[in-house]
Order: sequence, then structure tokens, then C-alpha cells
Amino acid sequence: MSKENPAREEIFARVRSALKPVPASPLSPLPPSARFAPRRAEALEKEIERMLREVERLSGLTRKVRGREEFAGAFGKLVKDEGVRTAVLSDHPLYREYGLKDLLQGLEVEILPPDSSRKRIAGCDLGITVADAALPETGTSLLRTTQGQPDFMSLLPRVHLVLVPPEALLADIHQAFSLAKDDRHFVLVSGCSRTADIEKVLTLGVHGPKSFHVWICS
Amino acid sequence: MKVQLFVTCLGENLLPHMLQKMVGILERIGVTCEFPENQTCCGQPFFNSGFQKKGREMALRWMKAFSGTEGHIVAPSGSCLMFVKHRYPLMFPEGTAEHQEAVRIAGRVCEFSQFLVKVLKVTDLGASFPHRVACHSPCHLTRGLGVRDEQRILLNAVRGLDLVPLNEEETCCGFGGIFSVAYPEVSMAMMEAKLRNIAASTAEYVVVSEPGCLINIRGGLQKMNSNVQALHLIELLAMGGAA
Amino acid sequence: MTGKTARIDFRANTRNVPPAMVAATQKSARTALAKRADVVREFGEEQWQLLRKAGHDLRMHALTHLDEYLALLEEKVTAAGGQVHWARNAEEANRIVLDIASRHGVRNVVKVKSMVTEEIELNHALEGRGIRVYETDLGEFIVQLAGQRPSHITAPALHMTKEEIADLFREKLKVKTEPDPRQLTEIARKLLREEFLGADMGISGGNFLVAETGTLILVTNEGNGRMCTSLPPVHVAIVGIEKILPDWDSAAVMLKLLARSVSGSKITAYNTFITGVREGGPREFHLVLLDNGRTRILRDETARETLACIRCGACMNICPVYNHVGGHAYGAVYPGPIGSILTPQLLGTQAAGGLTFASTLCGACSEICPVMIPITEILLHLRRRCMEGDELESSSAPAGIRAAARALQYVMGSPALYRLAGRLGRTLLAPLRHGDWIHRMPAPLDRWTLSRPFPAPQGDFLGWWRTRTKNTGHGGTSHE
Repeated sequence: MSKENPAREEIFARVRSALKPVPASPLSPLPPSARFAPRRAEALEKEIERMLREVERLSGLTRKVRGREEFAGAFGKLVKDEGVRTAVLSDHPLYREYGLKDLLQGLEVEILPPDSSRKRIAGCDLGITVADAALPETGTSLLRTTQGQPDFMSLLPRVHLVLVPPEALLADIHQAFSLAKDDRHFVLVSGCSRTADIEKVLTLGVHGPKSFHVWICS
Repeated sequence: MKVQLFVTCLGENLLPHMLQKMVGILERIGVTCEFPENQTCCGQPFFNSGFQKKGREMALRWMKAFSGTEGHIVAPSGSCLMFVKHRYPLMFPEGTAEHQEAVRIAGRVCEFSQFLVKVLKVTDLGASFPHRVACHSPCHLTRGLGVRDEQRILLNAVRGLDLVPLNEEETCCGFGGIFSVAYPEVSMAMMEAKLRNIAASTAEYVVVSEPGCLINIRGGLQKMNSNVQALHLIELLAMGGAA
Repeated sequence: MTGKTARIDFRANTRNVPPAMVAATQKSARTALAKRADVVREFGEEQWQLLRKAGHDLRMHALTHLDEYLALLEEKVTAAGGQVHWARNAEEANRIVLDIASRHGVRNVVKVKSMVTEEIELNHALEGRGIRVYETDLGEFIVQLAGQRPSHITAPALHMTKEEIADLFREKLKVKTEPDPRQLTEIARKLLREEFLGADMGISGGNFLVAETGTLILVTNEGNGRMCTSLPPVHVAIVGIEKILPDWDSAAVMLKLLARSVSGSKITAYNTFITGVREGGPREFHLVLLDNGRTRILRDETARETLACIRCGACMNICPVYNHVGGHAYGAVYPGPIGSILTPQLLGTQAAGGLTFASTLCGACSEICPVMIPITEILLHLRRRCMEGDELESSSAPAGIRAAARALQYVMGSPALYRLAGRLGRTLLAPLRHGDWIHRMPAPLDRWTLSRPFPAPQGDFLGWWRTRTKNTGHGGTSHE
């Protein structure tokens, strides 16, 4: 830090002299006009429909699953359709509810532990995460980074499946921020990795997953 | 009712017949016109080219030319009008006599179509013009002053007039004052884009109610040997028998 | 920037634009604007205006209290295990990054698209030390491979066709491919994945910095932002000091404005929020805060709003000038309307003053800017700096222009001379007339007639007025 001091001091001096007339006061409050009222949620069913619709607009695939049996059926279909042979999943109580590990073993899908090497996870077919929150307005899932759910789990595999409990739905991004703002790292995921950099042609799965699934699980 | 004519330097030197028609229309509806001869130029060409001090000096002189007069000051231009209305008060420090004068005069200036529709509440001048007509939206008139409806209202009352949509009507025509001589190639490209849209509209006439835009588009149509004619709204109303 | 002060000749640049560039620019802009209009309508026009106002006011609040927020940011980043560096200029910033690289024996770097790193020419500095740099945004990867400059701030390769890109990949990457965007993207994906997994250092810019918690926000669609900032052992972020937001509520407002303004999506695929160091992430996080002329812009109360820019590109999408000349014509990192106010302030009016005249002042940019930057006002302010000079710079206008302005004022400021000039004009130009038109005007109006004929001055309004007043008694005249 001592090497940078002259630069730091000079920049602060320049900023303060540029703002001469404004008296320095500890964290002056923002004026009311700098605030914007957050969105209000509608009825839960409507919010769920909205979430699914928005994810589909972003080229994601969606589903509602109720109960273990429905989940098992849907999951089997996903594994078959996407040709999944390897999967990595975080550690979450929701998986136990649906017996996910057993399902995977039954489908002969190799389970990689979350602390596998990045190279192994990069070659993995399916990453499964549970959303800490979901924002129906934009089809967004909040994924907080923890040891059990490192962020590249949702980034490196070819297919990404997000499970969303209905309680996770929030009205507005403000609330998602209130939840996660003190984390060291979190991501808002809204749809598939995409680009239109070549002649404005939409291409999915640039660097991130090529296929993105969101299931509302009750 | 009495009004003062704000003829604009472009208007006086390059569109004097249009100004005559403006007088004709106003007098026909019972408005007495006066012409403060010393107005010359409001100063915008100087100010907008970066010569703000010169622009201020011209402004003081312009205000003096109108100072002994009363009534609305009517202009056939949104650009010059906006300069007096918005810029003059900003040119002088608040509390000074010049600022007060600027605020007073800013309250008096009015664009022609605005004056007819909003002040005189006149929308039908008895004009008739049975042709297909498109309407260009000059940047300072529409985006700057928010004068959009007044032209439409006046055109809608013209008998037989078929108003056709103009694609990208609010896109700048490429005049931009000094821009047209600073970057002539780009100015031409923008003008040509506007002319292409005018041609595509199938209009026989295009209304261009801004002196700068008018000489730009009219010149462009001439260069293309186009059959389309560009007219100021004032000229169209006059042609249709309103003056 | 890096001390180069070669004059940007906008007019010359506009005369060399390939038609393909213009066509691509317009296609891209039209698409983005149409989608933006849809999402703004969905949001509600009135609500959108309130959101813009909130965006403006919070950005200006942050800028007018910049020292407080910079201090808070530094405190929070440091408390979270990150290291904060201060760079007064481009050389200093590059030196800081090179020091970090050398301390870690860095041989290859993966990079997220960042305008500020182009501003300081960071790649050049790294490559000069033998460090390989991979741009990882598809568009940036392509222009890097082609050795070109990006032509738009959010769609860097929009001026290139898929055929050109296929040729480029065949030549530089030695691969077989069709000119198909999906195939081309797949090639880039495979190649860059290897680089992500093996890189020694990841470099990014930053869309925003949240002072409240010391958080860096990256807004991307492709996923490379996450790759570069999660996989390599060291992450260096270079961010302009003006990118600061006071708190998380402000971040919410900004994210509602940004994606909609860029391209009409409601949100981008990935928004990454990084605070210091974390378990399982890079071992070291370095934040380099860059001045490079921003504090000088801050001094000017009228032009200060330039710094509110969130780099969405909406102003250039709607600018008719930009749409006819493309991004390269602006001769610097930032094109379009924002470029025409930012570049002259960063490089000085001697070098870039011409850009302040690259506008018809139509106002479309100010109207679309999500944070309500009064771009046309700032253009006028900078034109004054060019012609008259001000507190920050002396005039850079050629003596001939100043003399012409003086002469013109002398004539137009005197009613007698003004009228005389009018009469002389009518007389002297008469021989050039063809009917109502003059096809070649004398200088400087010869530039007008390059593009279209000039209306031959005819008729004398004052004469007409005085005659009818005398004859009919109609109308009066005021003399002062």
C-alpha cells in the first residue's frame, strides 16, 4: 500500500478539489428522486407462470413438478433427452426429498463430487443447483456461491438444471440483493449463455451451458 | 390582436416569399403584424458553433430590437424559437436585468402552428389541398419544443389532403446548421436517407416547417430531379387558399 | 490516454467508410432499438421516465460525493481480502498490472471485454512483456484475431460478415469451417475453454462498483465474465473511478436500465457479484481504480454528467451520424455521441475537438440515454471550449475561423450592413443562378453545394414590407 500512496493521495486530492463547493459529510443520503419503487408481486400462481414464461423467452426449458414421482419421470426424460452420463450436484436438502442421488445411480449417471477438479467438471454433462431466490419479472435465478455450491457448477457443465422451490420467488431484484449482498460471491442467471456478436444471429451456449432448465418444484 | 414577426435570418434571406405568405395568413384571420426591422439574427449560429460570447451579444441586440413592442412574437421556425425561448434565459445570470428581459421575451415567442392552434384556437383556415402529403418532423420543433400535434391538427383540417405516413419521420435530415458545411459527406448521407423515405412514402408533397431543414430537403429533391415538392406548412396553407 | 495527441480528423475518417460497415451498423442498431422499444413499452413509458430520473440522480449523487464513496469502497474491498490499487493514468495502471503479473509468473491471461482496458492499451503492455492475452468475448476475440478495433461498444465485431469471420478462423486458427455463426461460435468455445482452464490470470473491467459492500458487478451474456473471474488463480479488475454506485438499491435501478437500453433484453444472461476473495475462487483479487482524466472532467460542473455513462450504447444506436459512418470514424475507444463528448475531454480539444461538431444537435441521444446525460448541452459546452476556450483549456480554433466569426458578427450585428450584405448577395450571386438554384457556391458554402444546390437568394422581404406599409397602411415597423 505504501508504494501506491502518492497515487491514492493525488487522486483523492483531485476529486476533492473538483467537488470544492460540496461539503464533505459522512455518507450523505441519496435524494428521494434517486429511488425507484420495487415491483409488487402478484398471486403465487401468476408469479410461477410468469417465471416459466420469462425463462422460455430466454431460450430456457421449463417444467413444474409436484412430488417425487413426477420429479423422477421428468428427470429420467431430461437425462435421456440430453444424453447425460455425468453429473455434478451441490449439497442441498431438496435433493434428498426427491431421492436425486438414487435416481442418478438408477439412470447410470456418474456423480462427480462438487470438489472435483475444474477440468473434470468442465467435461461434465449436467450441473444441478437449487435457486436461492427467483425473480419472475425477468426469469432470473439467484445462485449464492458456497463451498457446497461453487459457481462453476452452474457454468462449466454442458447442461444446467435449476430447481426452484415456490417459496424462493421474490417480487423484485431489490429483495434478491437484500438476501445476498453480504456474500463474497453470487450470480444472477437468466437463461442460456448467448451471443449475437456474429451478424446478429442468436447463438446459444457460447462459453456457459448450452442448455438451461428451470423447474418449479413443489 | 397584434403580433411581432420573428422572420429569422434564413427566412429573410432565403425564404422571403414564405414570410410574405405567413403575413397573408395571419392578416386574413384578423391578426395585425408588425416587423421590428433591426432583429437581423437571434445569434444561434454563433452560439451553437461555440462562439457563445458572440451569441450573447447578438441576443442582447435581438432583444433590444423587440423591446419597445407588444404582443406575441411569432416565428416560422422551431429552431430559432427554441433558441430564444430556452437558451436566452440561460445565457444571463439570474437576478440581472438581462435575465429578466430574456425571461420576458421567452414568454412572448411562439412558433407559427403553435400560435394558430394554441393561442388563437384556429384550426381550420379554409384551405383545400387535394394531394398526398407527408410531414417531416424537424428536430427542434418536435423533440426540442414538443410541438407535434399542432401541425397535424392544421393539416387534418385541410380539405382533400391525404396525409401519408413517413418512415423515420423524426430522424434528423442532416442540416444541423454548421454541420452541413463541417461534415458535408455525412450531411449528404443523412439527407439522402430522408429523401429515400420521402420517395417511399409516395407523397406528392412533403411538409418541412423549419427553414434550415426546408432548404436542405428542397435542394436534395431538386438534385434528384424529384417530382416531390417540399413546402413549409405556411406555403401549403397559402397554396390551398388560406392567404 | 497514453499520451498520443494526434488530431482525429473526423471528416477524413467519414470519407473512408466501407459500405458494409454502414449496413451492418444500421442493421444492428435497428434491431436493438426495436427490441428496446418493446421492453420499454412493457415496463410502462411513465415508469421508464421515473426510472431514468432515478438513474440520473443516483449517478450524480455518487459523482458529487465521489471521495466519500471511493473511501468506503476501498475499506470494504480490503476488509473482504481484496487489494485496491490507484492509477492516476494509463502508464501507472499498466505498470500495476504488469507488477502483479510478474509477481505471479503470469504467462497467459484471459480477458473479459473492457472498454477501459482498451483506453489504457493494456493488451499492448502485456504483450510487450511476452504475456499472451486472450480476449474471450466472442466479438472481441474475433476483432483481436483480425487485428482490428471494435466498432461498437457492446457489439465489437458487428462490422464483420460471417464469411469474413470464417476466412479469419481458417487463416489464423487453421480450422475447417462453414460461414455459419453456430459453427464459428463452437470453434471459439472449444479454444477458449482450454484457455480459461489453463490461464494464470483473469482480467476484467467492471460495469459497476457498489461502495456499500465493496462489490464488483459484471454484466455479461456469454459466460466468459464468470470464467475469467472464477477459474484463474488471480483476478485483476480495472475500473474507472466514475463507475461507483452508493448502494444495492442503486444497483437494482442500474440493472433495470442497462440490459433494456443495450439491446432490449430485460436482463443479461449472467450478472456476477464479486466481493474480495472467496473460498473456491481466485486466491487474489486486485481492483485497479483508474483516473486517466476523469477527475479533470469532474471539475467541470456542466460536463461532469459525462461520467454518469453506463456504457449501454443506446445513444449510438439512435444517432443518425453514427449510423452513417460507423464506430471507427470516431478515431478512439468510445464512438458515437458519448464518444463525441468523452474523447475531447480525455484527449483534449486540440486532438479531438472536431468530434464535438460531429453532431446536428438533433437531441435523439439525450432523449434515449438511460441516465439522462444532456449530451447536446455538453456538446455545446465543449464547442465553446474549442472556439473560445474556458477554465480547463484555451481555444484550439484556427485563427481563420475566429476571424471569420468576428467578421460575420460585425455584419449580422448591424442592420445596415446586414441588409447591404443581403442586397450584395442577391446581386453578386445572380450570375451563378440557374433558375431558382445555384449549383456551385463560392467558399465556404461550396461545401454545401457538394451535397445539394443552394437556393438562389431572391426577393427582398424588407422592401416588400415597407412598400405595402406605405401603400396599404397595413403593418407597422419598429425602429430602435
